[in-house]
Amino acid sequence: MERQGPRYSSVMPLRRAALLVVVSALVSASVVSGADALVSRSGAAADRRLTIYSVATGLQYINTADDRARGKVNNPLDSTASKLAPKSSNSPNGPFAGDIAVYALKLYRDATVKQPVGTAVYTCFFNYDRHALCQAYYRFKAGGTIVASGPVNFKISRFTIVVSGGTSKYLGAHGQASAVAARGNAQRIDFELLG
Amino acid sequence: MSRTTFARCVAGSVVLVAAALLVARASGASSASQKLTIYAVPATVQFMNHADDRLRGMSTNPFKLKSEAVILGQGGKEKGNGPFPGDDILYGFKLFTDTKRSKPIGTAMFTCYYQFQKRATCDSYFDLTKGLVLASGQVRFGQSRFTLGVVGGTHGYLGASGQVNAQAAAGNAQRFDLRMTGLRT
Repeated sequence: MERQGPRYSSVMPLRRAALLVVVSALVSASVVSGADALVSRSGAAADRRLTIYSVATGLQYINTADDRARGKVNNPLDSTASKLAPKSSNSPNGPFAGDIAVYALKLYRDATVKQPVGTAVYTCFFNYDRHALCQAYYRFKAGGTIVASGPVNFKISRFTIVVSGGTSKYLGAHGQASAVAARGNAQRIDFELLG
Repeated sequence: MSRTTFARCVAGSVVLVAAALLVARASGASSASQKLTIYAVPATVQFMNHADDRLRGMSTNPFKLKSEAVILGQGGKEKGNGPFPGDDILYGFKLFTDTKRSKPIGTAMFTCYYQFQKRATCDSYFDLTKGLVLASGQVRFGQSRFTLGVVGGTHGYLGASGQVNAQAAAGNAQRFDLRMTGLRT
């Protein structure tokens, strides 16, 4: 009677080796595939993308015409700098250099602006030709704040500003925030956060 | 080679290959440094004199401070022309890559809010062809040599940090040396 047990012929190690290579390849593939997802996730952790929609709920305009007029007469500028005073704007109501606009906004997760996620404030310091340096913070109900600032051209509806920091979930955030007009009075904001 | 040794070799190779792939993928999001020298010519200057706000703040404020002595002289008028705390100056610049100012590269804007001793905190942005660079820091009125911290950038300068060194250049120009690190490649 032939012995029924494992038979280790000279072919077996090769078969086992081949099987091992195939299994290894599968494991390798799954590791790489998993790694891909991991990198993508860790990439998402390091390079997060976040899209929200904002709707303005409040606006306060600070007209500093008196400070501007006083500054034309009483200032420490030399003659060279005084000659560089800006020409008057085309619009009689401004905005003029030095004016300030403060915007309050509600933030939503969706384009239909039905799922609120937080609030935001923009403080915009106007300079010339309807441009302003805006300082913004976005406060999220789930926790965390994103701080951003940069120039905004009020003649067009899109802008990109610098994300310079954040708190809690957004601690150490850096990157940029790009805003474009969305439907209705909403604005879509895409955050690209690097870390 | 024994089966066990062979299996260990294969398993080891798999781990090494996987690790190499991970490292290769992870290194995809690397950062870079860049030095950029630009020449700025003042284009516009706007001085905002907040004397009325200061005077109002001296009489009506939430603190128990007497700031008159710091700002007001004998006649109740402000000493000199300032800039005094609360004043601000907006400087607009045209930017060039060369000293001859023949190659424009963008514009810059400095918004400087004055504190005491004619020192200001200036928030600036450099609107360049490749993107935006934001920098902030202290500048003393009338001084052309100062250093600002780069707080970030957009597009081609995404993730930027570093500093901006400023000094006087030929003519009425200002030279800005931007040293940026952490740029996303």
